[in-house]
Amino acid sequence: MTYYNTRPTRKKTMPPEDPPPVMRGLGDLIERITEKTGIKAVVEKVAEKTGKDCGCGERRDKLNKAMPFGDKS
Amino acid sequence: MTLTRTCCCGKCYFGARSTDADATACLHNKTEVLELRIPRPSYAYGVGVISYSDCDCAGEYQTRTQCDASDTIEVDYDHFHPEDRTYTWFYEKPSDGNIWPPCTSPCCGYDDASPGFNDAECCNSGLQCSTTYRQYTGLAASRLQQQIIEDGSVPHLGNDSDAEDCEYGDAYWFLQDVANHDTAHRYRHWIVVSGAVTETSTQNLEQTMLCVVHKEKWWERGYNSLNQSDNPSASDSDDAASNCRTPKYWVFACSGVPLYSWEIKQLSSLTTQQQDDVIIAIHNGDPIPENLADILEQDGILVAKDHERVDGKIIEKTLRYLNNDAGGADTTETAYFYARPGGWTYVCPGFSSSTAVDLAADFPQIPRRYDVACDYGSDNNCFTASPLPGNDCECAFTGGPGGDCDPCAGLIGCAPGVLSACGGTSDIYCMEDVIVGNCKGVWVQFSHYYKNLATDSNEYECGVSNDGYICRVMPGGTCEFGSLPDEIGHEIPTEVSESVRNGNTANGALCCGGEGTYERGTAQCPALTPDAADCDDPTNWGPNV
Repeated sequence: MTYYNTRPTRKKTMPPEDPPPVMRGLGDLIERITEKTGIKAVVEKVAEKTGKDCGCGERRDKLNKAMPFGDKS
Repeated sequence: MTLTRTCCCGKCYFGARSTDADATACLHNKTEVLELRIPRPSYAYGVGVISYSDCDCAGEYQTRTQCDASDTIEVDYDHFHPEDRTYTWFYEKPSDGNIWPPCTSPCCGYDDASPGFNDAECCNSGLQCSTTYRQYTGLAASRLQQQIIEDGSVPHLGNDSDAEDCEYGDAYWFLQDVANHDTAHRYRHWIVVSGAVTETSTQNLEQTMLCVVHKEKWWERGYNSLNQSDNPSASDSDDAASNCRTPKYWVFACSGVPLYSWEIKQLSSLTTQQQDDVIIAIHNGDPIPENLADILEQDGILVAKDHERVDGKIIEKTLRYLNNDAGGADTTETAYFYARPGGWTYVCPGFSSSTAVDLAADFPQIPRRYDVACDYGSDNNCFTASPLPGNDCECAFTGGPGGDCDPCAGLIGCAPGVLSACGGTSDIYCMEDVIVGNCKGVWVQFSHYYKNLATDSNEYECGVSNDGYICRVMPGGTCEFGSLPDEIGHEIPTEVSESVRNGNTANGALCCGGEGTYERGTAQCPALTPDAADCDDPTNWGPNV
């Protein structure tokens, strides 16, 4: 353990170990971005509190269908 | 900055030496408080690209998260000690892995280049090691360790033109004259065997070091301005503040003093039972009973003070050894050493799964900068100077035909919460906090980069740069902002640094002037990246709290 003093000490967050999941389409890309920003978690929290679905899942699936990235396997 | 060189009672030296003007002495009592402030200005970050091609909304949109300004986060910290003492005692053992410098570094040190020694071989098999310095086991240290202990600045490995030397500063100078102490001087040594303190064979000086002891002053979080409107998912306002946002405790450590087994047994005024209690506590990783550490301080064994020496060494030790150069004569001499630097650290609210029990039983020997619930990567800590949680954040966009074609639909009004993911070569966000502190307080600078997805050139931009600070405030007083650290080192994430060096990101797009990083294997090494836009001066600096 190193103390912070007048010599700058770096604290950096590390990248996640797990590989990113395969993206099925644009909807998943948008969902991934919102996950990174933290928006997704809060949207779901709000939906839980209000009892009103934000429609993210439906919107994601719709976008995936409209703009699939294609099967690369 | 000029700080007094007087050595009256109550001074807390926190540097390696008394001649370092920025790290000499503090004066603590139980009435001073800490005030933490983190402004939350408006900001926007992130660029997402969405293209519609098969409907009335056909077109390309660029989205981002936009947040209005929120109230400044303000947290007050009051003096803390379970028994209302001013100071407590904290120690680290060599076997904890932090007392000696690392044996190897992927960024710097001595590899196969001239003069031909290799630190990794040294650490593994004892080949090509330092001929003068040793590890705490008595085995030879590496050349890297020797350089760190003697100088603190180590040249980088290989021929990477964009790598920089590693700077350890004076963090390990306290091992000078310890890790290379004369091996003809043999010290008596006591260890714990089957729960009992037992004398073993004589050892080198470094082998008899039980731990390095720091005197520490603690503050506990009291008032905080965050409430459940800032964090609706929290169960109460304290959770709102503690949810990976602000530490439960801040700690200031005075300079560390090595403690040797023979000092306890041969030089202290402790009773035999008390001597054994101290040695067994350290062996078990338990707190040293404070009253016994106090006695060791009164005996002059755990003291760092200004001796007005030219070299600034602030630890005076009475060495007692058997001198093999004089037929094993029982010898006593006085010697001076640098101290292990102290400074600031913090303790998270959830440092264990049973916090209250562990605090009562283990204080102050509890983990630092670690929270069981906050996942900030390997450091897993609970503190950032980011302007989050941001209220009234929303998804904003440009492009497309407009009207009912809103790529943000379903996201409007959603706050971003606390950022929890970062970094890596494939991620679009990178962020970091850099913290510096001195006797008067702490300055922490947060920076956040994002990849501009609207371009195809791995271009990064500074999304948010924010400054938080902590002031030590005396009763009725104000923060002495002019006494806070006035320089901070900003390091640019690897992928951003590479982007600059590859010509994809302009210097002016970066958050602050500073060094880049160079990825060598899995290590983040210092690298040469030109200074970026200067934002070294906090915008919310002073004059009053």
